[in-house]
Amino acid sequence: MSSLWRWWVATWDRREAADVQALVRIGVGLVMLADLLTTWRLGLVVPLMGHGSVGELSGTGAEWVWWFRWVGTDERAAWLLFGAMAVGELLLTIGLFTRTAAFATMLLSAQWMVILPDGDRGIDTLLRNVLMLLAFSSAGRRFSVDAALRGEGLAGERVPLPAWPRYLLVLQIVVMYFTAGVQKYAQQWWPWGGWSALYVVLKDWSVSAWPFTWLDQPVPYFLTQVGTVVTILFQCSYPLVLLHYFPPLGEPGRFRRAFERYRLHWVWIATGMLFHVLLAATMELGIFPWGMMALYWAFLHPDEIRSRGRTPRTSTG
Amino acid sequence: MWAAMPEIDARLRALVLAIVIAVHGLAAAPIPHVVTQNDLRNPVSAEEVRRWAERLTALGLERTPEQLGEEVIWWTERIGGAHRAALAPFRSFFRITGTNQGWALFANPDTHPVRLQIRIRREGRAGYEIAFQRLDPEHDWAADLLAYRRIRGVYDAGGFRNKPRGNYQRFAKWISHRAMAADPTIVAVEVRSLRTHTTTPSQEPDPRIEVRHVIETRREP
Repeated sequence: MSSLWRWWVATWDRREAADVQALVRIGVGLVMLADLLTTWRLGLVVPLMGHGSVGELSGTGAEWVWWFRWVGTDERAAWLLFGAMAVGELLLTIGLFTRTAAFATMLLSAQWMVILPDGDRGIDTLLRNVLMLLAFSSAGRRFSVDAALRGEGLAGERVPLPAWPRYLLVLQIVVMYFTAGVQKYAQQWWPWGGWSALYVVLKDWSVSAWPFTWLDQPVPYFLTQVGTVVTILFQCSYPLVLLHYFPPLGEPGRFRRAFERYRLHWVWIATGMLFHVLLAATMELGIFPWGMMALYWAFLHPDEIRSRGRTPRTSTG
Repeated sequence: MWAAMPEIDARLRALVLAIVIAVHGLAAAPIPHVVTQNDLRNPVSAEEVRRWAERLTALGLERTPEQLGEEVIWWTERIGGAHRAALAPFRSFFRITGTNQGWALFANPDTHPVRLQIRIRREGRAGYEIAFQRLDPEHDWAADLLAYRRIRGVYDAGGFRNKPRGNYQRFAKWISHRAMAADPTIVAVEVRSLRTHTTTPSQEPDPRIEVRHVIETRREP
């Protein structure tokens, strides 16, 4: 067995308490539930979840949606889909039948995507990816009704369990940021386009939260240029955090030692949090910033949470 | 035998995860989608191609925007086509589970953004009045609903097209019916897209507003 394969097997065989997986589960469940309740509050259950004949917005034929084939195409089908999703997300949040709830919620959300593809955004795809992960994870072993039913109390027992779902989630977040960065091919993202991308995005009527007429002033415009530079640097360099979570084979050199010593992965985590807070304040992207921040728990080792941010006992993220 | 089980589990898990990561890695690969002639008619894309042609020409790789556009179509057809073909065996899985990769977030900021406007005509009145205009606090009928991300996704795509997409048409009818149901004095609703041009402070301002995709719905007797 080659050393690379041994490294790969060992990387995915790490174990830890399921605290972080549980916190991601609760965060994702709450964000999805909040989004679903917004749909209800705005009176959009039938328009967004219903067949075109009752909701008017969907153009998808019933033959493409198994929910419509099995449940029907009337208003009741839309309300049943809403109810099923609400139950799934609630069970996921409280951790009752956790794996089944995650898997069922993912399938139901996928049906919603087929019913109205344009209403389904990148964050919905990302959260379904996470639900798939949670369905195979130990997220129900801590802070859950499942744990209580196992006789371990609501908090559950703090025993070492497979940690691969958390590391796979870290990889998913890194892939998302990195590929979003390197696909920013429009010139506004680069010096020859005047670093004007954020300015242009904030002037987009549909996604901006405010008119931002004052952005034309020199100082605010300069700040958008700084924001553009930081965004590109932050996203394109994001894979560096993997040095912390997936330490490569071999003895660390000076860079890796310095990276660990000064815990430099926190630069990307902190920048990311700030990035999402600013997005939430300036743009109307719905649950995107909150959904992303719910996943940020994955960057913490369970021992880091217990020691409130201090270095964990393990040096491998 | 049983003592060896954890080792086998770990190897099996590592193998399965290698396959999962390979498939999702392929799906996430930052490969451009297939660009068509219609895509290049979008003023944002046209401006982008023009700027890149200028940039390449300045570097000694002389190209007109038309030539560069043709090359983009040729290359993306092949690369994007190969990417699609490689993912074809997994398409059903992605569709059923709704999982996928592909994160071109704000890759191409819209320099010609569209502003949604909804106008209403009341019984006995000749002209229209504005009921909603995006980011206009004076005209904010149903502003919460129209800002909701899932509704925005329905109307905020394809603003550059010559004809409105089917989704936009359905949205226009739906929101019109909603307005007329809420207020019996409304006899007609007009949904329009106002296309503007964002220029940076160093560029010449372009105050033109192009009214596009006008869809009028009248109350049925």
